[in-house]
Amino acid sequence: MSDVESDEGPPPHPALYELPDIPFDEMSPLQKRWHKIKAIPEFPVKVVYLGDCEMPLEYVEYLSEDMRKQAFEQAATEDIDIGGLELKESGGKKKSQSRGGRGAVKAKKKAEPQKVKVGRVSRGKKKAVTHVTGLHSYELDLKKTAKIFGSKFACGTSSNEKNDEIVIQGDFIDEVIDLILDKFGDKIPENMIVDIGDMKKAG
Amino acid sequence: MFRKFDEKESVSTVTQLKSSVQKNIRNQIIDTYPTFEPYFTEIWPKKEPARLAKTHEKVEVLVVDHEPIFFKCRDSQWLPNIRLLHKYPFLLPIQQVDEGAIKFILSGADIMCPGLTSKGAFLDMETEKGAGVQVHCEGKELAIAVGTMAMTPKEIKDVNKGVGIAVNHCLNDGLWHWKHVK
Repeated sequence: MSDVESDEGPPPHPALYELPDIPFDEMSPLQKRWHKIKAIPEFPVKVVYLGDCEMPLEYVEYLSEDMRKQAFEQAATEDIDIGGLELKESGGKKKSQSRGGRGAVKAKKKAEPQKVKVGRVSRGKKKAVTHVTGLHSYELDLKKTAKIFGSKFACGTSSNEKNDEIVIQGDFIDEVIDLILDKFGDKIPENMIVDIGDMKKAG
Repeated sequence: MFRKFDEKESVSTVTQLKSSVQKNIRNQIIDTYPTFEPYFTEIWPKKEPARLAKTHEKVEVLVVDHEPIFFKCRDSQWLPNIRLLHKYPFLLPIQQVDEGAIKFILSGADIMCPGLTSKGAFLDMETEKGAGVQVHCEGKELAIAVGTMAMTPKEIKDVNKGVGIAVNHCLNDGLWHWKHVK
């Protein structure tokens, strides 16, 4: 590798593969691929990913049916040209892969929206901590959410990823519900938040 | 490698790296991919701290700015994440497989020799055994997997049986879905 860098002219193309000087049509598939890569003027290349699986368009057809549907819906809403690909309904004649074991790419399970439970656990006679559980299924970062709670109520908070729980020092049940609705009201509907009042001390 | 990967269960620690170790890794990656250097400093600026996630099976994942960008297993070379590879497709030598292999690769299979020697496939004879390669598919533009040559190309042609490329990372696997590292 030479360390000489010239200020003039474009830098050499980063692809190291050497192409023979023959017309494109005579190249082997591999050389064609490199030819295309070498023709890319600028990096990074932008790639469009579709659906929950985030698959590139050309591989969408290998997804399971519901994932495929979802990907095409996204393509439709974002006005992406799907270039001749069609959503094939697998009705009537079933293909050999209908078992769904090998081959078909299975959909990843998405967490069902759980109820957000807010409860109080007493600590001694006049002190209490507030537990908030179930926020994880709304794709909130528990750590950050705990921080928001703490700075709002000026108290200590802790988050527990494993138990999907945030503990707030002090009794803030009503305030927490208001705050959740205020901050994350677009994600969490009001009827999904339940006040379960006094809880038993967790083991 | 990442087929049974789950962010919650597989990642044991994510640690901030010492600057000397960072330098080391940076040099290793630039050594492996010399032409990647200008782009590499773009995605990983000198001052940006990097983190290393240790996961199952001694796989280490380099994390810069919450994104897993490179991974390696034990003493292998650093291999790029496919998302990164799609952006910079010149990183690894290409091997092309035939169309029939796609669904098996997507469900996590290694690349078998016949998939590399049949009509739709094309084998890069220059690669060595143990080298990292990107797997492309007949009729598709983008890489589908990142793997390591388990045989030399000559062996693949002659033997034409068994695993030709061990797939380390493919589309829709655990690493693919691990987009954001906390």
